[in-house]
Amino acid sequence: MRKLLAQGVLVALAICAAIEPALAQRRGGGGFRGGGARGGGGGFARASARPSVTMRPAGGANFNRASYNRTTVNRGAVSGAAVVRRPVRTGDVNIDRDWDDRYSGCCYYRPVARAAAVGAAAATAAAVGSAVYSVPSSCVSTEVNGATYLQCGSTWYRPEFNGTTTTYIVVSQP
Amino acid sequence: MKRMRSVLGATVIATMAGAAAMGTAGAQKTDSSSGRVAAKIDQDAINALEKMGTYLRTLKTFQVNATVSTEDVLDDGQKVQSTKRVDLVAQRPNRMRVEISDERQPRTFYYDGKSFTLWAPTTRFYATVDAPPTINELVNQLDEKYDIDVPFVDLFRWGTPESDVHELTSAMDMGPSAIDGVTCEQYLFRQDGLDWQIWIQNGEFPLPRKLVITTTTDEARPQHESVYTWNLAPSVSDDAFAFTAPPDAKKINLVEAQAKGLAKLEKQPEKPAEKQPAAKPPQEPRNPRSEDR
Repeated sequence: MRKLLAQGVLVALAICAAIEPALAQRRGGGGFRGGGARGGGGGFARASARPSVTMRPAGGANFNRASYNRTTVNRGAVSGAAVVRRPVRTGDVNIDRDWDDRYSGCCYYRPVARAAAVGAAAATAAAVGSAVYSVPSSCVSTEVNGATYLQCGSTWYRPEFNGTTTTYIVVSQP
Repeated sequence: MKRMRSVLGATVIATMAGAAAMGTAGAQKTDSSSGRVAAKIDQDAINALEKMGTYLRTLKTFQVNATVSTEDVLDDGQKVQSTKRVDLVAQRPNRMRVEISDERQPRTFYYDGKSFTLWAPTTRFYATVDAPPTINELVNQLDEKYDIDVPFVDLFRWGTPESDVHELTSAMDMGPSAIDGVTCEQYLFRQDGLDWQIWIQNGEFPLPRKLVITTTTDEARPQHESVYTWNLAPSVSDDAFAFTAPPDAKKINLVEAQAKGLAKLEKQPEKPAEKQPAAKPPQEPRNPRSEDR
């Protein structure tokens, strides 16, 4: 029974992670006030404070780092979502911990995601090449040929650093 | 009419720019035609900045701790402030360690003159890349190639040609002000896209004690603030700058900024590509440490 429950949660979370790019797209206008931003919380920034007076901003005076230029993660044509923009302050998720609410990372839309997961489990598979900013802490990390992968149910991710932020790219099973 | 206004606007801007340039070059001399603007450059403030820069260049080994607050502006204009502790140890010209203590995204940077490692202690992920031979070159490479901001980068650039006082359009001395009980002089500067304030310690150690940078290109004017604590005689060994991967550490890639996007992603669905060891971009030099593991 417990195992079944755990699997259910795992599936729900995998779905949740999978649909995050789509959520990200919709969230654009609203910021993150819709759902307590814990763990991987964030919103989407149109601008960030420049941290230096001597570094030249990219793109001249209209420096708008967080939102548009170099840090925009555009996986659009691959994932089918238009643009996945960098959230403000994406938190880390320790994937090798047991499930722990505090490190949810994934789902500040959790109630919505869980409800959706029930009906859409089979239909919503994460597209290979799409990127998310967090994965469920229940994912398992595996090393394959010297590279680190995370397995979350049937979905595999390859973590990488984009700047100092960790992103997770959906890949075929290695 | 609209066009008339913009022409007028352009003239005013041109005049001001000219005046500012003159002000920078001509110290406190007041130009009769644009005296008000020229007077905004206080040469004492410029001198204080240059003196601090020159002094910073004399420091070979130093440790600086700071509480850093920074703001992001959400799409709807709401600001989000985040605060972190940063602990930086540097040994010029080629050793640096930066520990960023942040509940959500803790990171440590290691630079030993040969390689740079980014370590994420919560997730146990790390990435190591080859690094240039000096801190200053590293800072530029991290910014341009990897989209990584090194905290306190100004500390390495003040007093070098990379910090150009001629970019300042306004400089003012606000007078004495204490930071953490240390008497400082507070200065205000203005340049394209930025207003900033700096508190420089009085006396024979002209160190920056506080820096506030206001980004003026967004109407919400997000701020970045650092309050520094200095240690000019830290005891550090070379080990402190080299990363040794803990047994549970997991190596991942540090993506090059120009490699982001479709060109790279299109390769991913191919299974053989995934099986490449460490899946590094081919142009990236191999990391010797990865072969040790």
